[in-house]
Amino acid sequence: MKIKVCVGSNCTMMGADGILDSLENLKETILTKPGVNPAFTLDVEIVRCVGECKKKKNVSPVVVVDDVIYRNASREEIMSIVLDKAFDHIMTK
Amino acid sequence: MKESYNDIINIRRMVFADIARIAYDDLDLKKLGDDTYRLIPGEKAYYREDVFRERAVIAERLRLALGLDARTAAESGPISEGIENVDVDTRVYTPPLVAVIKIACEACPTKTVFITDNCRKCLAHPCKNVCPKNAVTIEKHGAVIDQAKCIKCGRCKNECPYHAIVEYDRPCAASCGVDAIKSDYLGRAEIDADKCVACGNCIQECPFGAISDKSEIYQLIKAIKSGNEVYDIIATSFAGQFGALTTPEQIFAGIRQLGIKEVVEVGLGADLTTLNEAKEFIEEVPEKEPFMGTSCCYSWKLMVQKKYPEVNDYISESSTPMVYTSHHIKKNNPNSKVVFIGPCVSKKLEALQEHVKEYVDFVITFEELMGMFVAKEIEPSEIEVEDKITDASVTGRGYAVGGGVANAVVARIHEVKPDMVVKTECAEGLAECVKMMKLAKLGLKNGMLLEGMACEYGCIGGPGTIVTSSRAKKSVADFAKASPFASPADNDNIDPEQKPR
Ligand code: SF4
Ligand code: FES
Repeated sequence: MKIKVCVGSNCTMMGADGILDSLENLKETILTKPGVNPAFTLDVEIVRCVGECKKKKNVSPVVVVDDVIYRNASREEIMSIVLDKAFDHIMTK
Repeated sequence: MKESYNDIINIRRMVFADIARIAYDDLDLKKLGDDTYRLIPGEKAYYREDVFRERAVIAERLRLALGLDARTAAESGPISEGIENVDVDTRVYTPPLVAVIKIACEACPTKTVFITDNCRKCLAHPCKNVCPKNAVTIEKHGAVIDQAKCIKCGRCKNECPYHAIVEYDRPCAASCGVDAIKSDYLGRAEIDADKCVACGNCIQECPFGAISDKSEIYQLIKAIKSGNEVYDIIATSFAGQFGALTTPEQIFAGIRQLGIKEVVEVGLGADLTTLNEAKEFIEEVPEKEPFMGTSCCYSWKLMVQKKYPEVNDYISESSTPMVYTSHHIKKNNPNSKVVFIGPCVSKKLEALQEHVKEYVDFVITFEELMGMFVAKEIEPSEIEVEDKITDASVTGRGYAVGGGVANAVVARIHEVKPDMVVKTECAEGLAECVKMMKLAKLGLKNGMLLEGMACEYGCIGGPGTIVTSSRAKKSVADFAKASPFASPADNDNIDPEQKPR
């Protein structure tokens, strides 16, 4: 799974660092536990303004998960996307 | 910054960006009411019980951000009331700089021990048995505490096998290290100005965002726009604050794009503080003074002044890094204006004091600066810069992190007197500062160098910061390492005449 966290001015102001911290925390805690799908990888990249905030107002923070853009992203939303994927092999759909 | 309070932080920052935009675009302040609709659009409430109250609260935030006082619900009138007085390009705000927005305060209960519905009404009811005031009775649905009798000793809470009993305080009061939060006649928080030292902790801790400081971001932007030569002195904790990809050099470049003439690290002044405090310690302790307290955190100094006046003389006489740095600029550019940008609310108050106000014309926080970047659509991380910043030494840059000041002073003492043994103690957070000083007053800290920081983790934990302390700590350490000067004595930006011998 590839996550890009925008750390441009608007997104930093609206809490991009909080999202980064949450993801780092997941990597150090839940994702080290047994049960994570062995095929799962998490690659977090920090990127400059991805341009969303220039297209439309009030969309920050912006996070891109495997090429899907999340506007007004919240840390809880992004963390749960990660964990759903990390444990998808044991989840009953 | 309390990072899990996202919504409150975001509202606060949106207000700064909005005021900055109004100032840059020369919009009519009389139309401020429209901004409450822009910031809180639609008719569905998102933050509070209804959208009207959300707009009313944000209106008061906008007023505070312009430097005005927040009003109560009784003081009706247009939100632009009195606004002509702040539509200027010089400092206008007056204390109190930290105030409760009364219409936002939920009048949280003061310290209470309370039995929740997790109570199983058990047969043993140890809560009742251990209460020394016989305040617990077993009623129809479970145990109940008679609040009039309860002395908040917490014994019942510790005994309950179901963890059904909680003890809580209002977050503002619990966070205040000097016990300055009182209640008004409606039970809402009220700040006791005689005790408050403007550390800003309650601003960070209130879960309703009901406490705020005033800002002078509007007047600063007007001062820049009216052609003043404005210099920025930026606190040592700035590294890493403006986005994970933004270098310190890019931050400086971004600030210059705001119309600021030059940026200087406050670390330069920190180097002078180090040199002076080291000299003072060597000369005074323990012969003339039993111990010495550091001088850079204004809330810490103010706390000692107010609570422990008997030992106030033992706080170092050195000026603060902010004052030294500003002096460095103003002596060559007497007509310039200086803005201090930092993580700090208490610097706003320090800058109003005699002997400081002539040096520092404006004080804003990193959050407020971020609002200016956003208003001007500046992306510091995209600016190309080559020059390295070389204003301060390694230890001067280290002031930003708790323990850094003592570390710098001791390192300097050892350069002068390698054999001198210096014991230090560092208190982070105002409550810890109070504890340390109480013991110092009793003579239990004699011979020591005492560092006091009103914020946990030091300046990187200040109320005006943007990133988490752990992130900031790394950035500050990297930036410190990059300094060309190992010792403050090597700092060749400082006039040799100004360095103490
Ligand atoms: S924590 Fe906030 S809402 Fe609660 S009493 Fe204090 S200021 Fe009011
Ligand atoms: S700053 Fe994130 S989209 Fe522009």
